[in-house]
Amino acid sequence: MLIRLLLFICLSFVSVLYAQVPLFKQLQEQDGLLSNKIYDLKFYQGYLWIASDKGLSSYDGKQFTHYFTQQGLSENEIIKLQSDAANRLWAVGASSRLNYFTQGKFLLLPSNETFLKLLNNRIISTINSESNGDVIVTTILGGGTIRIKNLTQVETLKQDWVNGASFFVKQLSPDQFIWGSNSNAIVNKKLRVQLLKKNQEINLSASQGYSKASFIKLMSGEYLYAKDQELIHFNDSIIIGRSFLEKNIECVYEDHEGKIWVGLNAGGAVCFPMGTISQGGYFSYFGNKTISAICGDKKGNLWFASIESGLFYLPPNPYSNYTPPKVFSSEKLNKTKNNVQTTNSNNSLLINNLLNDDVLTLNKDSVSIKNNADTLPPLIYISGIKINEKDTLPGNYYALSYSENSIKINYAAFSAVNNQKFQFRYRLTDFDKDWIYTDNTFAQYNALPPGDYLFSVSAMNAQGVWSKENANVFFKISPPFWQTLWFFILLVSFIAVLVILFFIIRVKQIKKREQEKTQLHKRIADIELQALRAQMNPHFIFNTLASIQYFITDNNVEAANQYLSKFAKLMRSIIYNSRKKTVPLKDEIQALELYIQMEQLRCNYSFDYEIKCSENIDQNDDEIPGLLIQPYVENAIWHGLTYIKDRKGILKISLDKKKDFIKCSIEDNGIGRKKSMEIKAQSLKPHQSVGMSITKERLDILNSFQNNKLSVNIIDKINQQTQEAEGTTVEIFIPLFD
Amino acid sequence: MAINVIIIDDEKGARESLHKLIEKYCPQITVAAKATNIDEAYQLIKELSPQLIFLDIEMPNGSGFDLLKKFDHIHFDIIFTTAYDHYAIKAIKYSAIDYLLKPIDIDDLKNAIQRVLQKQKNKSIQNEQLLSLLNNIKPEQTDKKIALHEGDGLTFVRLKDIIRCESDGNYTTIILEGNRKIVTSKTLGEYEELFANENFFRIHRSHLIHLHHLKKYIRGEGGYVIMSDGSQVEVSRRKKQEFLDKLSFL
Repeated sequence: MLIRLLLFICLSFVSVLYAQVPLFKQLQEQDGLLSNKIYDLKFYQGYLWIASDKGLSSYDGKQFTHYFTQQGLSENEIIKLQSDAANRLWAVGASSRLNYFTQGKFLLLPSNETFLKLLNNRIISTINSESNGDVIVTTILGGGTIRIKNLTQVETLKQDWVNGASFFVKQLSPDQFIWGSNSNAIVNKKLRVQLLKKNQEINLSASQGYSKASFIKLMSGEYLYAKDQELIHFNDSIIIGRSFLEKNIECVYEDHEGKIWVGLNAGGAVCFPMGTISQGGYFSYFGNKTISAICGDKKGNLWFASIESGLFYLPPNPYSNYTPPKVFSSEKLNKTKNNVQTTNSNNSLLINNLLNDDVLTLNKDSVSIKNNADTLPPLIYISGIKINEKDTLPGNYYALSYSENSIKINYAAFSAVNNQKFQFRYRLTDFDKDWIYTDNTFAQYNALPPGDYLFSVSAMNAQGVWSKENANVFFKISPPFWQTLWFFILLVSFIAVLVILFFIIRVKQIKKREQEKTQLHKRIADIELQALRAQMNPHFIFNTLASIQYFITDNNVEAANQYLSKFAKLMRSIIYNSRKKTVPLKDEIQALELYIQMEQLRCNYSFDYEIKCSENIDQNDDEIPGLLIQPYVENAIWHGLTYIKDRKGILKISLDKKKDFIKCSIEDNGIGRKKSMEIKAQSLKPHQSVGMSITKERLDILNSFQNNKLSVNIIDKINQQTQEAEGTTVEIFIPLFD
Repeated sequence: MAINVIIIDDEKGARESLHKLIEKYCPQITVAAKATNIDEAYQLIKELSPQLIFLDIEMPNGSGFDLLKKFDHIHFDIIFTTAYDHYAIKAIKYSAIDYLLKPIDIDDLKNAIQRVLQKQKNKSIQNEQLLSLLNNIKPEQTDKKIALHEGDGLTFVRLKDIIRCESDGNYTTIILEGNRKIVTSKTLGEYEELFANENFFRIHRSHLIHLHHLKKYIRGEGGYVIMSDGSQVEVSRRKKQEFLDKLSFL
């Protein structure tokens, strides 16, 4: 039971350490990367493939496997990766050579003359796979668009308007391509995207040149196109939204939650958490690093490749399915999405603010605000949240552990008017009593105690107009396990169990002790009974009765009466004393005297006796265990005194009180122990000294209860002249029993 | 015919009271002398040649048995007197010799004297009885002999040879080694008591077995045992557990 309980407690502790808010982590050369300069990332066949200037690596989350020219690569510097429908991984070298990985090794695309000619050292800008396994490659600077069939055939795709200068191509479906091209690269440098199916062109951007462009199809079926600093969100017919970022775009990626990530050249990465491209509505990460590629893996990790700092990754967010409480204006954010209404034929983006019917129009050249710009409330948004100095995945709900209690919130405001100065106010509900007004664009809280917090911030523009709605983030800092209710309950039950266990063990112990005690008492009772039986030695009783019988047969009525009553008195006192643990010395002496008188009768008065009791003994109050002395007296008579023939036997018993014990000495002038034993040894009949062995046992038991031990000392008296034994003295030291 | 007796007892009371009782109730015998210890007794017996002695067992300076040991041939009857001596009484019983318990009961005394007077004088049997007594009394003695009443006479068997005893109403059949059987007039209960400290066990209301001769125990409701002579004896259900406990000590 205890073990199960402990196990439960341990497991509970583990569950407390459940996933925390994911923070960005970094992998660099010292972690196993070939280089910190990474050009591209792809998740392919369960591995993360990393293209760097020093080689290609695959990573399974624990181990790197590296590929170099030795493994078949055309060169170590790989700038682009692409998987195709035939389950191949294409790796484009810096010198525009195409490698593909299949069945565990890299092969160089056969150096077809046509192909080489076509490439002609041009930079491959995109590489796309078609569903039938064909690969379409585009190059910058007039290489054109090339289709590679079955890895051998190469053909140039001829489209008038592509004009051999397309830099970008993507097949959306078997009969639908999206092309990006400088339709007349030199002449008007217009960028175009052609939707082939509808044979319709949308002019996406005025951005010029051959710079890198990115295109992805979103989960919603819409498209995202990025080139230079511009991000355009559109569907088959219209532009839904667009945004200008401060730096050139390196890559775009939509993660599995629909967040849009954009890697920037020397501008870090930004995230549009709602999956909508809105001006300014994003979080920024990685400072001014160059993020060259973004890619998600099967486990939900999001990987970021940088040109200078290796890899970053963000573990999956365990709260991604969390529905925040009503207080948060996630509605507000959704509304923003709804508000972004798109149109239009002349490159402008309209944002309707439903609340006051203002219309914000963004087009490629200018931003104009209808109605009064002065009264337009600024939009406020959270631009970043750091927990314990580390960037986090953007969100409006954070469940944190007690140690993740240092929070820095960055926020920003924007309005239609450029370079506005904003005043902010923020409040952490239940922590800040009142709004805090500031010009800073961050709020910092350190060492927050466990609890639920709502952070709200709003901005005011120079005209004194506050944001319509606050930006909100909810933080839940859970208390450490030792402050939680369940821990308290567990602790209490644990203690209860301990207490119960303690009691059970204690009760068992007491029971056992009681049992032992009972057993000991039983043994004592046994011994007492045996002691009684030893005093009531049948031999003594019947012999005494035989002696009394003599007076009767002799018609000596007086003597018969006298001895019979004495005998009765002795028997009575023996029975009476045997019931008590201790008896007053007076009673013991009386019994002893009666006993000796009986023995005298038996022995025909062949010995005299005297009992001396010192003055300091209180015969009424000083108590000793009853029937203790008698066996020694019996010994003195029958093994010492009865043997002597030449002199009168003398038995002396003296009692003296010393401190806390009584010293009793029994002295006889018999033949001594040695001679007595000799005589007995000669006899046929064995001697059984039951009385003494019982007394010995009784002493042991009495001693087991007492600190003051009973002890017996036997002294053989030797005549100095003749060297013969002249009796024995037994000294018994009896502690006084209270 | 008057019988001369000598009373041997160390205690005056016992001595004198026995003397008085004999004088009063047993006119056919005469107390020739009284002795207080065995040396004195030895001298008196030699001098007076009594037909009967009353002999106390427990005496300082030598027990009653020590006195008997001094004689090569005993031509007198013996009645032991003792106050209480379990061990000695058992040995006397083994040898089927008379004894009296002190204080002496007058009827017991009369009966004992009667037996002595009526007894067919067979000195060889008495000698054998005494020899077995002196043999049995040794504490270390393992080869004890027991006198069994068979018909009018006594049969001496070695305790070792007894395989088992079987009850037959008021009689007991004692089965011995070598296919011998003795029917005695004592009950099985008396033998059980007599052999209490020996290696015997009452496995059944009518069976007392000598564990020394136990060969095998066969389990059953009570089970049964096979003895060294091949005989099978049933173990009663009531005795089974006690019997098994006893066996586990062997």
